[in-house]
Amino acid sequence: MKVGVPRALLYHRYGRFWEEFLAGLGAEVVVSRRTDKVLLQQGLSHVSGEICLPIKIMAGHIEELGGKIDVLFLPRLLWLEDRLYACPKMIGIVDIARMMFDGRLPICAPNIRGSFWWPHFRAGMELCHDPVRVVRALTRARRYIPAHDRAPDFPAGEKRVALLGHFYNLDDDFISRPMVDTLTGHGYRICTKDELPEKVLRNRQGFARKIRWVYERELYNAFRFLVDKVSGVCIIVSMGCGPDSLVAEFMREEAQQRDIPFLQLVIDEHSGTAGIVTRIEAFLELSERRHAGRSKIQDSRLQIGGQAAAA
Amino acid sequence: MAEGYIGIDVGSISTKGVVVDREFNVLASRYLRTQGNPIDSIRRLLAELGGQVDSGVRILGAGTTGSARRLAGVMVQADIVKNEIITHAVAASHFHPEVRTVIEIGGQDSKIIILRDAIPVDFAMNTVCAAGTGSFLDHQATRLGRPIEEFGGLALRAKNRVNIAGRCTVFAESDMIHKAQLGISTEDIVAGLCDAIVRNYMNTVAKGKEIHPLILFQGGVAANVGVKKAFELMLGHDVLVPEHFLVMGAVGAAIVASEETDGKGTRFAGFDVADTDFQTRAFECEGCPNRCEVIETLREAKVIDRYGDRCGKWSKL
Repeated sequence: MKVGVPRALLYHRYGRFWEEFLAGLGAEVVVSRRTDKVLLQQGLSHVSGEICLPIKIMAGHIEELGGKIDVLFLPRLLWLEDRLYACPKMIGIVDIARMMFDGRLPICAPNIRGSFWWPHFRAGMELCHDPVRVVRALTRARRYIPAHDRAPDFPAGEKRVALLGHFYNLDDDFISRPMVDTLTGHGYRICTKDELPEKVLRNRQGFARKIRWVYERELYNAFRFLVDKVSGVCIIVSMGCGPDSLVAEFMREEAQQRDIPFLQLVIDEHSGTAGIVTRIEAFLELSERRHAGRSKIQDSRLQIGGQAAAA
Repeated sequence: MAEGYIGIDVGSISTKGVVVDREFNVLASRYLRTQGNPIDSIRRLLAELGGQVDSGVRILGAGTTGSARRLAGVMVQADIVKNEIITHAVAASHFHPEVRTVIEIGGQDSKIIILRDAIPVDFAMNTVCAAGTGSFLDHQATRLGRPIEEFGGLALRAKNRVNIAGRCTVFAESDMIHKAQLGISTEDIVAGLCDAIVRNYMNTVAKGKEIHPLILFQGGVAANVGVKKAFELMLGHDVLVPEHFLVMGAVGAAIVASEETDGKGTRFAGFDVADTDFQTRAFECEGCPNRCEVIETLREAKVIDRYGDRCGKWSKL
């Protein structure tokens, strides 16, 4: 049996887990190819123009898989622990897929409410009917659910910038390549939220407690953790993303108070790479000039202070 | 012989160039329409700049900026290719060290730059929408049958500034037509349009920015006294249009060229680039489904630059 997994949205976090799980059930796993212009165009024809870029891309991946598989595997994440919700558009993608195929393609869509175990067990039973095999496959695959328990190192003297955004945007080369290339091309190490330990991302103290969207809470927690370790914060927001636009505003204010350069890049299918590169270059240079200017001002203060002491 | 630097700013609508001396006093400046053909406009620009300084200035460095900065940089063999945020900020703080806000509205884009202690610290640019930029004003002036140069003056003669929807160019236009059909005077409508442009700028580009004086207003739209007035009414501060407001980006490019070369010697190809044959052509790469549009620049039929590919297959020459 050919089971299709679209290489978009949650795949960028749970893809390895799903591939191992489905293979363990004896299925032939078909993953759609990496996002490209053709896939995006396909997606655009299926969803409303108002919706965000990652959903458009997801629709393209689903369409691409359509004729090649026997069943589409499309878990629906409703909420994770602590009743932290996923975005409604992500929850709705299963319904978009149903409309696209109009019953012509079976869709296996476990509803994840907090725990991963039961929904995946039931989905496994739908696909292979052998409980022992399902339990074994699930147990083996579970270790591929990514979770870091150690924070990366932040050595002194390294040029670092935080690139904050949803993993499904940052891990999709088609979206993030121009940004990543520009930043690394200028000698910066990129710090993202998905390399941070679970306990940082799951923090529920302070303002984070009030954020009820799972990935926005992660973004905010990552921002708080990284803000004093980097020379600038660049956040990637999909055009039309409600939760992001709200949380980004809080981050912008905090960055301003702490005097950290902050850049918000809005992406949609029209955003040419030229505009993005111009903004990132200006942002990096701004933070460098700002840094140089600040040390110059401090130097002159030091000299004035020194002279006064000598006098 | 005098010595100096050359700065070139090629935007979507206009091509600007300056020659400055070592203290960055403007010796020659030109403002041309790009007319969709940057190669031709860069060539004309160099010919005219060369004519103005009469080849009496030895060029120590060349910088390019603007949306066609890369093409211009390749053509004149610039020492530095710099984005327009930095060049505008650098020029603004050179002429007015106390500047804290730069409003720049050009042909198709608009930006705000925040400076503190003469250092640019924050900026924003318009994203996908060009409502309220120069080309829209141009279009409306043509539609009303008034030359663009008189357009701002009309707004100053307004008695009752009417409310025009400024969120979108298309809606603004239909709103203006509607108001005209109600019998409202052209002066009042144009003043309303200036307000709409400023409101749109404040809500999109300048959103969330702290605007403090001194405020400089530069770029082509700064020539429009109506928009300047509308900014002053909205912000409650005087807005200063600097002497070289049209070519500030080019001046900034010349300044960064001087920082870059710093006596090391220049690669500048000379004013006679105007006589060299340049071509650009575009093709779609068929190597993968991304179908990148690759742009090539040719000098005398030889490829000197390629860009536009995501993977780097073509841009590595």
